[in-house]
Parts: sequence; structure tokens; C-alpha cells
Amino acid sequence: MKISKNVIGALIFFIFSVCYGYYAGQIPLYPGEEYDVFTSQSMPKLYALLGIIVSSLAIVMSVINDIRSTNNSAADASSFDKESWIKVASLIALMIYYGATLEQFGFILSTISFLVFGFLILGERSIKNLFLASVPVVIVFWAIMTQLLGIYLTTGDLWG
Amino acid sequence: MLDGLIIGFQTAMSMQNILFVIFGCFVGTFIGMLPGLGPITAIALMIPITYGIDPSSGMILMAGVYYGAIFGGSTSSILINAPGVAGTVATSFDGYPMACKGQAGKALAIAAYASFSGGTIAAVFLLVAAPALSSISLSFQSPDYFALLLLGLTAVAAFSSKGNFLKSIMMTLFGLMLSTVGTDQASGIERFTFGQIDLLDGISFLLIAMSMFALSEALLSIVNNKDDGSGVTPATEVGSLKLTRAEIKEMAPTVGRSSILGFFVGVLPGAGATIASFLAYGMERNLSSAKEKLKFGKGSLRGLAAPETANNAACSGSFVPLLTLGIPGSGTTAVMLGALMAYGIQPGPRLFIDNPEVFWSVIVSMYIGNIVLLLINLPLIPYIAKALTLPKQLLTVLILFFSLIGVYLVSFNNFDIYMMAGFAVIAIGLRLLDFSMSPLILGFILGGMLEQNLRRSLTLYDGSISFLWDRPITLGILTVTVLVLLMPIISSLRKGDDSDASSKVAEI
Repeated sequence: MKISKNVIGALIFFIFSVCYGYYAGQIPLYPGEEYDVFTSQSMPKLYALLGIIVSSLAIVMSVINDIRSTNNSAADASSFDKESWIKVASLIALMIYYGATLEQFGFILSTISFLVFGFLILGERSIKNLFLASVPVVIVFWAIMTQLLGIYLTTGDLWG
Repeated sequence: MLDGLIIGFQTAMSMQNILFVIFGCFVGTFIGMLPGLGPITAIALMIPITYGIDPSSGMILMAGVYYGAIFGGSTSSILINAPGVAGTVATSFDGYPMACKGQAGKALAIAAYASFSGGTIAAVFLLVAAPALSSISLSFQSPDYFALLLLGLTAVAAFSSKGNFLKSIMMTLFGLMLSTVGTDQASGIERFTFGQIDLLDGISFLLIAMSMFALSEALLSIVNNKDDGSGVTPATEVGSLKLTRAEIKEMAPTVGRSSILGFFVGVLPGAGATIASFLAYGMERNLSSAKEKLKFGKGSLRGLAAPETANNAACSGSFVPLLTLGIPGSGTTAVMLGALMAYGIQPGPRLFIDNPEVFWSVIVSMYIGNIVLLLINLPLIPYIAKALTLPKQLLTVLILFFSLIGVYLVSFNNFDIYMMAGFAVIAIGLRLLDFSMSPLILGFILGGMLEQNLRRSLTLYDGSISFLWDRPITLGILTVTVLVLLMPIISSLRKGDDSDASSKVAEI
């Protein structure tokens, strides 16, 4: 039997709730606080319990529905477009790169490189477009923020 | 009141302050339109500017930015399905499907008219009933707030169908769980920070909203676009802005109902535009016939008008606790509270006496602001739409940039950018598993307040749960909550197997 999306989703949430509940029990309390009606652990424990109950219910309901419905597996089958997913993964990596370089290279350089690499990942090859869609955007944004609104944008640790 | 009104008109109608309202509305609309930059960011950006001007003008400018940003948020919700503002999440449910059908112009026109109507009706309420309403909200106690927050959470029922009810509950719980990350406000104990200093203040709403909506939507559009050419490309065909008489007639009762609901929800401290818009959407859906319900989530006019009216009405309402009690009704008014205090003005009951020009000029500026919004936004709609009509690859990367920098500009912490990347991955996974993001956001926003008020209620009642039925207001709200929660279940049970039509979802 093929496992449906509903079962997978509920199962993941069940595991997450169990882990969350475990760490909720690890939240430190002040001495004697364990006798209080309401502590810092109360709501997290309640949420964990509700999460376990609801996800268990969802697993049972989804399994019953899957058994009843024979066409479900066909509906779950979706095409996997490897090329597009590589682009998505690259953009996520680019976001991490942006976070890592923003304070090192400074706002202008880091943002220009972020935009240029982003456009390249998505297939833009025209140098003119790459330049026009990145450099002026960043400069105008930087000017509005720093010169007009007086908001500090990092100039980069590397340059001083 | 008449004297106050005259003072307000004299202050707000000066050429300088009219220019501030126009400038505020325009800037707010522009900033709110950019995914990632909502009213909180827009107002925060304005604070340095307002230091150089007098308090009345500063508040008028910020009020204009507030309205403008809310409307701007609606524009991006409708055109690119990227609500930068929690209050406009519900707008995207029916606004974006309309835009996909080539009715972007009509959707934006409805948003403009509904915002104008909601804002204006609420401003009249505010003017007439501010003192009475402030005393009502003052009488609310923690048990009432707790009950009200539970009612807000049951709004998830409005977004769930027979098959997705449990999924919505799971996402609400996930949002509630995320809201517990950080330092517990009451005890000062760290929860789920895993020794990470950057998590001590918890996860910001803006970060969650941007990752779960704008980032994941933009990234998934790359995959979706490959398949069917749709994705989140902005609506290039704006279409006609005109509304037919039948359409106006259809929406008029919705606007009336949602204005009242939005205003009263906005008055309640902590509630604000988000809950108002969700409740209005849910209410309108529940009031609809089974056939009408099918249209919700697919481009329903009522489904668009209701949250748009309610969020603007709630914006007006949220000024009541801010100006009369000194309690912010929303995150945005909390920023304004900080700005007022920076001026040396203490909002509260004495504001009427000590600074009447501030209180009344803000109220009068709401009328002017609503007129300005209508005059600016409606003629500019085709241009706004064209501004968002950029090549796909440019738009996607720019959405990523504005989302990341919008969050970074609030915290100036690059750890937030890493978290956004992480949450974007989680959101993509959840979307692939057909989970809806809206209940998560709702749970996340209400989680902190829910805990605070439950803690206070239990403390007030010595650990007894009798607070649930001790006060008639609490009991009344809880009864409504149970009814709202049970209504879809009872309804589906009564209708049996052929009830599928009435339980379709507004999936986003």
C-alpha cells in the first residue's frame, strides 16, 4: 500500500509533537515552581499533548480513507522536475550565502552579488539585464535607506 | 466633543498636515506593496522623520502610512499572492484567484472601495463612540481575552474542509508551538532556544510570515511554473476596474457587517486587523449559501470585500485603546506608542486633556487619509500592477531580496536570514504535503497572548478553571467559540455524503 501525503504529514507532525513534548519537559523551572498551577512548561506540554492526539487521529483517519479510496495513490503521484528543484535548492543556498556575506562584504556588494547570482540561477544570461536589474536597484535602495531615511546599512567588516 | 472636533479639523486641515497625510498614504502604499515590508516596517522607517516635526503632524503622518501600508499589502496579496502584512493574508484567498482569472483590476478596485468604506465607517464609529467603547474594552479581563483568543483560533474552521480540518488544527498547533520559542515573558525562563542567543527574543512574526508566504511561494513558483505556466506570476492583465450595480449590491451588506465587526475587534487590545480580517472572512463564508460557499477561495467578491473592509475598520478601531488607554491594539500601534512616548506624550485617558490636538487631529486625519487613499490608489491601480509586471526571474529574485532585507532591517541580525531560509524549506515541505499556512500564522500570532491571559486568569482564580464560566462575557464568548467550532461538523453530519459542496476549502 502506498502511503498518502496525509499520512506522511500527520506522521511527521506526530514525531515533531513527541520531540517538542520531550523538550517541553526539559524547560527549567525555579525551585518549588513544580507545585504551581501554571509554569513555563504548562502551555508547551499542553500543545504537545494536543499535537500528539490530533496527529494520531489524523493518521488513523487518513489510513482508513486510503484503504477506502483505491485511486489515492494515483493522485499522489506527481512528476519530479529535477532541473527546477535544483534551482530552488540553489536559491536557498544563495539566501544562506547572502546572510553570511551581508555583514562581511557590506550591503551594496553582497546584495548586488545576491541579485546577479539569483538571476543567473533562474536563467537570465543577458549582461545588460543582469546589470540593470541589480546595480541600480541596490544603489537606489541604499540611497533611500541611508541618505533619505537615515537608516544605517552595513558597509562591510572587510573594508574597515 | 464638538470643541475637540474643531481643534482636530484646524490641526489636520492645515496645508502641512494634508501634505503629510498624502505623503504618508503614498509612501505607505508603496512600502506595503513590497513583499516583506509591512506597516510595522513602514512606520518604523518613518519614526526618524517624525522626530523633526510636531507630535500631531508625526502621528498624522504615521496614521497615513499605516492605512497606505495595509492597502499596499492588499495589492501585493492580490497581484502576487505575497501578503507582507498579516492583516491582508485573508485578502489573498479570493483576491489572487480573481487576479489569475484576469480580474486583477476588479479585485484591486473592490479592495480600494472596501478599504475606503471600512475605514470611513469605522472612523465615524470612532468619533461618536470612542469614550463608550474604551470603557467597554477597559472592562475586559484576562478570562474574557482568553475566551476571545480561543474564538480567534476557531477561525481555522473557516479555512478547513472535511478532509483538511485536522490538518488546519495541526498547523494551528504548530504556530502555537513556534510562539513558545524564546524567553517566557512572565518567568524569564528560556524555552526551546537550545543555547542560541539569537532565539532569546523568540521568532519575529515578520520572519515567519515572509518565509511561510513570500519565500516559499516565490520558490515553489519556479517548480509550478515549469508545469503549467501559472505559479505566482503577477497578474499582467489588470482588466476593467468597473463594478456592476449587481456586484455592488452583493457586496454592500458584507461591507456593512465587516465594518462593524472589524471596528469592534480592532478596539480590543491585542486583537487587531489580522483577527478582524479572518473573522470577517469566516463570518461571511458561514453566512453564505452552500452554492455561494463554493466560490470562496476561487474569487468570491464577498470573500474579498469582507477581510478588506474589516482590516481597515480594525485599523481605525485599534487607535481607540492606543489613544484612550495607552494599550496598543496591534503590533503597528505598539510602534506608534513608542513614537508617542519618544515625544514625551503618555497616551491614556489624560491625552484628551493634555494633548487634545493630537487625539482629535489623528481622528480627523483618518477621514482625510481614507479619501486620499481612494483618490491615489484607484487611479494608480494600472500603474501599480504594471510596476509588478516584471520578467519572472527578476520578480522572483526581487521578492526574495525584499523579503530578506525587510526582516533584516527590523533586527539587523543575519541569523534571521538563516532562519528564513530554514523556514522557507519547512514551508515548501508543508505546502507539498497540502498543509495550509494561514492557521500556522494565526496560531503564531495569538500564541503569546493566549498563554499570558490563561496564566493571568488562573492566577486571578487561584488555579481554578471556574474563570471559564464565572463571568457572563467569558461564558458568552466561549459559547460562541464552541458553536463556531461545532457548526461545520454538525452541518456536515446533517447533510451527509452530499455535503461536499458546502465543505470546499479556501486553499492557498
